Amino acid sequence: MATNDVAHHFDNAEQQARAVALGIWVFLATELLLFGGLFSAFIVLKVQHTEVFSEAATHLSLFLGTLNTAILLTSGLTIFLTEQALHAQRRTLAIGLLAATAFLGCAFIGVKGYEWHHEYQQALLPVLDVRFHYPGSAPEVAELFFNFYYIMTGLHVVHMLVGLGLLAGMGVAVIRWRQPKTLNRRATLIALYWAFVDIIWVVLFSLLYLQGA
Amino acid sequence: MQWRTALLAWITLLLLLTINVAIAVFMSDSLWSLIINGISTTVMAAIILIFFMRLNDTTALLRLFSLGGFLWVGLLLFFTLMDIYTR
Amino acid sequence: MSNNDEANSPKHYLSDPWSIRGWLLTTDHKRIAWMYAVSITGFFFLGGIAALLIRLELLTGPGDLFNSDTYNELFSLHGIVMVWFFLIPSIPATLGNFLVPLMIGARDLAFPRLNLLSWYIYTLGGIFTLGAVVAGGVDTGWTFYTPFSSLFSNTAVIAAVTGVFIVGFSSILTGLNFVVTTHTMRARGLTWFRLPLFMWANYATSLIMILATPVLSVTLLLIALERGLGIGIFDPSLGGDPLLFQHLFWFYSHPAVYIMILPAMGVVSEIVACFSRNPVFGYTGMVLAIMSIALFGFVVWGHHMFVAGQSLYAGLLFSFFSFLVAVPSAIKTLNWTATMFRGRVTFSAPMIYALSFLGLFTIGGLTGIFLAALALDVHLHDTYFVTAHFHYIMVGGAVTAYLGGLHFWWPKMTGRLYSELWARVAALALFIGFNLTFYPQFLLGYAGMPRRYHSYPEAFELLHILSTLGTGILAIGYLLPLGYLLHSLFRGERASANPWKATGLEWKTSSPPPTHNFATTPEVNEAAYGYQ
Repeated sequence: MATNDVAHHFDNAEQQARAVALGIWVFLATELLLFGGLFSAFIVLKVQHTEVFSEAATHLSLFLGTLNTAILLTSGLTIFLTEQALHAQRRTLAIGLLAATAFLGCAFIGVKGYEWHHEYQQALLPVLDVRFHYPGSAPEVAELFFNFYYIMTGLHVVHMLVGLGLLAGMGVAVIRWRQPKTLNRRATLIALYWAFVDIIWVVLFSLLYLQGA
Repeated sequence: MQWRTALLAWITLLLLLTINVAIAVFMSDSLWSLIINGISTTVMAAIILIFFMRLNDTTALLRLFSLGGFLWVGLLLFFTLMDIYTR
Repeated sequence: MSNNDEANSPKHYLSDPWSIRGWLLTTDHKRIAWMYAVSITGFFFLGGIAALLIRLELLTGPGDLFNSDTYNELFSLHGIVMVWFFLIPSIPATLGNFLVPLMIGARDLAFPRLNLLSWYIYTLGGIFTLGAVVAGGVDTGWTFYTPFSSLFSNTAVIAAVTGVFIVGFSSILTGLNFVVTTHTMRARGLTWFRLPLFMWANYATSLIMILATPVLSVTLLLIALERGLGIGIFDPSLGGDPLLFQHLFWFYSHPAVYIMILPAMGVVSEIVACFSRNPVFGYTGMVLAIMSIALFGFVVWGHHMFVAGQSLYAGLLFSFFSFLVAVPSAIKTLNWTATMFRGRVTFSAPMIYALSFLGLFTIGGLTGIFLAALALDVHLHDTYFVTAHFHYIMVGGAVTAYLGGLHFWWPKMTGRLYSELWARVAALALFIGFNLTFYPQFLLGYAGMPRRYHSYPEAFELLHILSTLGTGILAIGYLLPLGYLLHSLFRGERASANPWKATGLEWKTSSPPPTHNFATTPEVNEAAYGYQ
């Protein structure tokens, strides 16, 4: 029973586990560099337009940003505990924690959507028929700030949606409860990904919301 | 055992978030706010890495790869900023 | 488990099972290597035709064959196809894919399905790029410099950028697979310092792929957004910074040079050791050189931007690091020479390719030092001197080594031998043709002929004619192998398991290897290159 989930090209389960663990960390490193390019571009432009960017940041809602950060940090706790619960083979607890994580993830996206909608109404989100309208100084540079804001938060939300998809698949697997021994390995991978998306948000929050509140 | 550590990590994260926001609101536009924000954001990321992503309980190889990504973003940022600041 | 007649019939990976489905859905690293080999050969000849047309235009001074727009599209097509669809995947995705598991005694790469996915991603990216050509071509050059690519070019930039964006993920997956495989799947007793240098080279290359390629991806995404939506990140009139693009682009694209040349160095190490019957001189130094080239490769990108408006201080630092890269490169070149000096050298076809590599790489490397010097670069920047320099590295270095490696491991990959005589003729044609094509370009560039122009004054005519003549000989050097290797594939003499009497685990299994590589899992208890 222990051997039938080892792929043919691995010697044993231990080797496979090591390969998978390294694989996910290498994958996360590539994801980090993907965002890292954006962070670097943003910082390089920010040091060239410090004041305009700081002023533009005041048009974001610090309250909603803080709320979202708290939501996401809490979901980081619940997914970690999900992994622990599965490790201890406690099915009901795992389902509850998984549902809580998914709920928090959805709440994050909901708040983010509300924020975007609010900015859309203020003509700060130049999509559809809306032209960018900005009351402060140097509107074209401020628009640059907002473009970065949409690209970075947008890419982050895409990652959140992937994470929610993974959670849903995990939820189905936990409810079925077949081969429960393999579930915690899968949970570990999802938890790593989810925590990584948390880190990206923490950096984004600091870069976008906190500079000039 | 793990539960207690995780809860403590979570509480610390929320505390650091509070500090970050408070500094941003009350000390905005000073060099100190930038420095404190930078440090506390780094600590937050480190806490997530160490406790939620279990770097406290893993092999040296995985720690190396997890840090490598940050180091390489640092390289990109450092050399680009060096150009900008000395232009 | 099953001990019936299956064990008696020699079932190797090529015939097991031979069907369209068996190939397109295979997860066998050896078959995926072949799928890559066929694809990149197609792209190589596509890029080659573009190069041939460029050289034909330059045969005479006035721009008479094509107008300047078409010429711009031709060299852009040549650059984009050759860099992203041939050179980057060439050695890692074909020879590397085939050999990495074999050299470490594994049954496959760590993630076989990701490996297959990487080929499909590569193909999808290729289709987008070909689509860009059909849609009227691109005229930005392979570098997509802003603000030209984002604001001014009237060609299919977004389609081309999308193609390159997509193909980037295939090399990320290859890199991820190699890194994990090298770390976790080595045979018992095969310690890091017993690995063949080809493994070290591919490992270092994979690290570069996973650390640099994502930055390129996001940069290309920004180009597409800038062009499609006018977000202004690279547009100075909107507060953006065009030089920021060059920083992001070269953070990937300079290390990408090492993605091309490091695996080539790995191939040459194997060939030189085998045909000198001698262990590689200074193995540990070679390993350190590989790793330090990979590391230093990340901090020299600014030498592409000396005259682009970068600060002088940044220029100084980047220049300094660029000089430093010469040190490990020189160590490697001298060590190969020392390996031959103490050995018994035979001049088989792979060895001729390896020796060509040595000569061409040395010239390319030394002229790189010229270009790394700040003051000299002001004169030489954007001239044919630069064109000649990087062709000596990428074509004279990487492509020559790829062909050498293809010949060296051909018996292993196909179970057949090729015609040694024709192979030597092809290798010599390549060396002569290459030098005749590109050496005059050093002189042209030094005399002031700029890159990327389709017409030139009469004074440059003789050197341009020589260069175009060389292209003809070079083309023979590339077409001949296509002919005799294809012939060998069907009619070639059967090869034994180890026709070169080489060391290394890949030679310990049959030619071609069985589907799962080894009949019994090998064990290693000696250092690499146990030649007597």
